[in-house]
Amino acid sequence: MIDLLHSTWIEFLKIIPILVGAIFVAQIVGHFLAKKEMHKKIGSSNKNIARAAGIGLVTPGPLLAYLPTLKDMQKKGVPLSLIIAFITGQTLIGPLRIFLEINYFGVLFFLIRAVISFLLAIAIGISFRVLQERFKIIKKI
Amino acid sequence: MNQVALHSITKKSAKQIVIILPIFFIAIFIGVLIENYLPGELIKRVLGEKSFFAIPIAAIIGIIFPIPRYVTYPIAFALVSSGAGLGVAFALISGEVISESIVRDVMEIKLFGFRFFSVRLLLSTIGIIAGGYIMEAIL
Repeated sequence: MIDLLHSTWIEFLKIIPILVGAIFVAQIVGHFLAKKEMHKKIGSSNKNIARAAGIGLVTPGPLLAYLPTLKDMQKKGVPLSLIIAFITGQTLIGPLRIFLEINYFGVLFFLIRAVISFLLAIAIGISFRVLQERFKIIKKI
Repeated sequence: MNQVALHSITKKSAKQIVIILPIFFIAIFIGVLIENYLPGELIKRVLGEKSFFAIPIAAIIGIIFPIPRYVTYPIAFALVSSGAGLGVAFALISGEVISESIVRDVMEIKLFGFRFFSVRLLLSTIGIIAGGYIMEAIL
């Protein structure tokens, strides 16, 4: 048991500087990313799914903080396909994750995951739009 | 950056550090336990590259279990070190974030409705499983 705790402690000490640095960077990015300007950046056209996904990818912090802003944007006419693309991108990748992911799995893994996540966010946005156009139940959302 | 901004960033970061560090210690401990006690053969058989269901299993575990933010990394790393495929790491990490906490899910349902939430969850689950297979094929 003591051996296990010792191994854990050694690994923990190694990750502390990365974790602390990553948290600071994420907070700095979050500070300069004004929520009020999100609507302007994402836009209101259904064609902006890729842009919404991309903005989601670089937006740090828990999604919870952005949900009221996203609801406001929906009320102002932003399509749900853009909102779902943003949510998917925002949750899958974030500035804090870059440091942890590279530390554990390497740059290549992170880059591939980032590209797949970006494409997934776009695909989910498009699929949602198609489902909304075809099915009544989703139309009512 | 002015002093007020710096103070706010430092305060928020300190708060987050206090929350994340103990959880991370526990996650690393779980990772160490996996590496030391779970037989590599078993992990290879269930979550290895040759197991077709490894990626869907990892995605569903990530989605269902209330794993706190970022702590999937040491666990996924321990699984990969013990023989799981990188597609499993992708599915576990990505699964964890799409339904991260009950508080967030409740807020999302409250603001956008249950239908929106369930459609997003379904599409994300399918996407993450597909993404896991792509990751497995590439790396």
